[in-house]
Formats: sequence, C-alpha cells, structure tokens
Amino acid sequence: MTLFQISSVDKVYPGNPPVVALQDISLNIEKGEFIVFLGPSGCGKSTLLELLSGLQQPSDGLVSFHGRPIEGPHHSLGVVFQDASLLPWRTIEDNVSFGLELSGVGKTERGKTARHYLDKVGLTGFAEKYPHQLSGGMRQRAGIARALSSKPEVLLMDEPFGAVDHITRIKLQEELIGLWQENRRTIVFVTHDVGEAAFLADRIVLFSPRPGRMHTIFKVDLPRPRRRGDIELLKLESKIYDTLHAVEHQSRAAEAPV
Amino acid sequence: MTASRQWSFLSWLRVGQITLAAAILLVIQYAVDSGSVKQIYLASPTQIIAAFPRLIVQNNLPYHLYITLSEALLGFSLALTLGVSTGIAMGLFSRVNTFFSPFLVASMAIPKVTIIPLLTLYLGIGFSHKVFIVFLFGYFIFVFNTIAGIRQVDEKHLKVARAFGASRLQVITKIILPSAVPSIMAAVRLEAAMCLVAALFAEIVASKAGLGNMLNRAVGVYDTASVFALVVTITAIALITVSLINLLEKRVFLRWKFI
Repeated sequence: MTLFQISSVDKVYPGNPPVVALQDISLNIEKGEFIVFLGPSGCGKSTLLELLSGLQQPSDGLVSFHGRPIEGPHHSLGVVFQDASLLPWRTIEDNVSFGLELSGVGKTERGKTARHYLDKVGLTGFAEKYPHQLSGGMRQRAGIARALSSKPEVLLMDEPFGAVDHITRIKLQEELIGLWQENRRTIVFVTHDVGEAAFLADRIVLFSPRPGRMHTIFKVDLPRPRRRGDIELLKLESKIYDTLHAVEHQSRAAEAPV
Repeated sequence: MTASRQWSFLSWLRVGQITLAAAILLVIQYAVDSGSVKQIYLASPTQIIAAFPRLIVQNNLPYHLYITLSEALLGFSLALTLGVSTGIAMGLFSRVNTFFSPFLVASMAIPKVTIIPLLTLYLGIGFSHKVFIVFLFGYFIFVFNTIAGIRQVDEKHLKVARAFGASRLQVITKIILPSAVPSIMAAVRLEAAMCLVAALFAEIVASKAGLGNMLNRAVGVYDTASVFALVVTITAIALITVSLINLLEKRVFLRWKFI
C-alpha cells in the first residue's frame, strides 16, 4: 500500500538567482517500509523530508499522504529533528508529552504516555531531568520518544544521529531497528552516512546536489537482523560509494567553467 | 591532601577578610572617639548602632520604610506589567513595533531627571509622584528586554511546535514567551535594584515621607550617625532584594538552568 505519493515535485526558493532545492522528484513510499534518503549536503534530502512533514509546500507538483495532498503538519506524522531540538525549559517528560499537550490531552494521561515511551527508548527514570542534564544520545532518544508519543503512522527523521559519537550512533541505530520491527511503522530517514543507510534501509534513495535530484534507488534485500561488517552489506556500501563518486564527478563537471 | 590544603587556604582567606573588616571598623571607632575626625563627618560603629532605637521610636522608621518599599514595589509592578505587555505586543507584531518604536526611542532618550520638576507640578510631592518616577525608571528596560527575548526564540523550537501542529496562540504561549523569560528575568534583576534607588532619589528630591525624606532630615540637623544608620538599612534591603530575586530565579523562573 502506498503511503506517500510524490509526483513531479519541484522546490524553488525565490531569490536572485532562485535556488532550485529539488527538481522533478517522483517517488512512492510504501506503508511499513524503512526508506533512507542519502546524499551530500545541499542535495535537498532534508527539504524533501520537510515537504513530507507538511512544514513546507512544494513549488510545483504534488505530495500526497493516503491519497490526499499534504496541506500542513499532521498528527499522523512524527518528526524527529537533527539535534533533538528539545525545549530547554521543559523537563524530559514535558518535552515528550509536548504534542499531546498541544492537542489538549489531560495531564495524568500525558504523563502516563510520556513515561511509557521513555521506557521504550531506554530513558526510564529520566522524566524529571532537563535536556541539558542528558547526553547527546539520550537527548535524541527523548526526541524519538516525543515523536512516538502522538502515535504517528510515520516517523520522519532528519539526520537524527548526526550529532552523536560513532559508538552511540551504532547503538541508536540498533535500537531504532528494534522499535521499527515491533510494529513496522513506516520510517523515512535522512542521512549522509553510507554505512548508516545500508544498515537501516529497505530502500535507499541517493540524491545528487545542485539542483537536488533523485539519482539512484538501491533496494536492500539483506535479511535482518543485519550484522555490521557482513560481506553483503560491505558490497552494497561499496556500490553506493562508487555511485557517490560518480555523482561528485558529474556535479564537478557541471560546475566547471566552459 | 589537596582538598585539605585548599580548605585551609580558604579558611585563611576568610580569617583575613574578617580581620580587615574589623580593623577598618576599629580605626573608624578610634578616629571618631578620639576626636581626630569630627562627628558631623563620620559616625563610629557604636554611634550608628545607638542611632537605630532613636530612629525606630522617635522618627518612626518602620512607617517610612513601609512608604519607600510600597513606592518601589508598586512602581516596579507597574513597570513590569506594562513594560512586558508593551514588549510582547511590539515583539510579536512587527507593525506595532514599526509604528511605536520611534516614539518609544524618543521618550526613552529624555533624561528622566530633567522632567522630575514637571512631575512634581503634575503629581505633587506625595506617593503617586514617587510611584510614577519608579515606573519611569523601569518601564523601558522591561519593554526592550522583552522584545529582545522574543527575538531570541530559537528557529528550531518554532519548527518543532509547527511540526506538532501548534496553533498561533500555542506557539506564543508555549515557545515564544518561555524563550523570552531569561531576558525578562535579567530586566527584573536590574530593576529590583533600580526601583529602590529611584524611589529614594525621588524622595530626596521632594517628599513628605520615606527613607529618602528621613535621610534629608538627618542631614539637615547634622545627625551623621542617623544618616549612616539609614544607609545601613537601605543596603540591607538591597541585599535582601537581590537574594530574593536569586531565589526566585533558581526555584521558579529559571529553575531549568540551575539544575
């Protein structure tokens, strides 16, 4: 079943000259799939994620969710931000239940839900802490709990593990796969880390920059749980790296003065 | 070992500080008692202590203290309420800001001391005169700090709110205003000291009651010991105010920063 339908989408930021962030994007995202948008910075992958989340509107073309155009942010869409973006003046519990508070859920139920999801992401006992008391990895876990707490159909994750150290990142990836396998909630995940993409994805969409375009789609059929250093995984990574080099070569040729 | 060495250094530091303070007081005591400094210029510590019962019983210090504190507190509350409201209106609505900011800047530029005689003409030399002066000394700081606080809101936090479907009002109450609290608290801290100064200043210029009025009268009769006793009283109030503000920041408004 198709969840998101992206048809001939352009995103242009007005200016002199106008910046073409996305050009001619067409893609279907299936229910339950783990799809990764991969590419160098400036390739428009985060912009596409914001179009999916309803935070931005396309300049041309159509983005629809369950067959209906996305007109704005929606409770079925849970967004996880780059650096967690927790509100520093709120406790972890109040951060996690932020979405519920906005939609008018009562205090007791909010607290219960928040604690449930904090348990789920391994932050039991941290409800009363403030964001600055937590490590980067823990903050990002809280960010995921916040997105989960409004029980979304889809998780939209914008380079969520970009700011944490490598070891923590590996751990968070494995936890995320665990969460995803529990109920196969659709995940759209943006990253510029090839290894992360290969480890997580059912499908990888590789973007090329300036203007942001879809370059190649890799289908990842490897069985789960995946093992890091697995030869098939490494083969896939090396194929992606080759394509990335080709992308870089192309864009350099395009930028070179004639 | 390092810990105990540090502790002993700190305790020596304290001993030194207390010794110096005691020495200064003793020198003053001796200088006044021996007559080498005239009593109209300086009062000895014992004279200052002795002045307190006189001030309290004969001169009704509690009443004047009450007057000064109510002037300061009322002026402060008015400045806070109106200043923060103006700041919110100007910070949230750029048209309001564009329209009012030249007027605000112009009226802020008027040196406030120069209009005190006019205010005396309009309001007399009583309570409302003092409250208005305190208000005038505080209002603009609250306006500008509120605007600055609102401008400091983190773009990322606004995005979070929008992603969770916050209404315009929710964005204001749950993101923008909490973001402005540290900046408003900075103004509160500044003003808490300033409002007392403003009230005293206004009383010294023209008044019928209050600590500033008592100061004037004590100076008028060369009662230097009373002047010093009043200075001690005012200093104590200022210190208490500062620690109350600290407590308020740590326990309530900026609790999240201090944990």
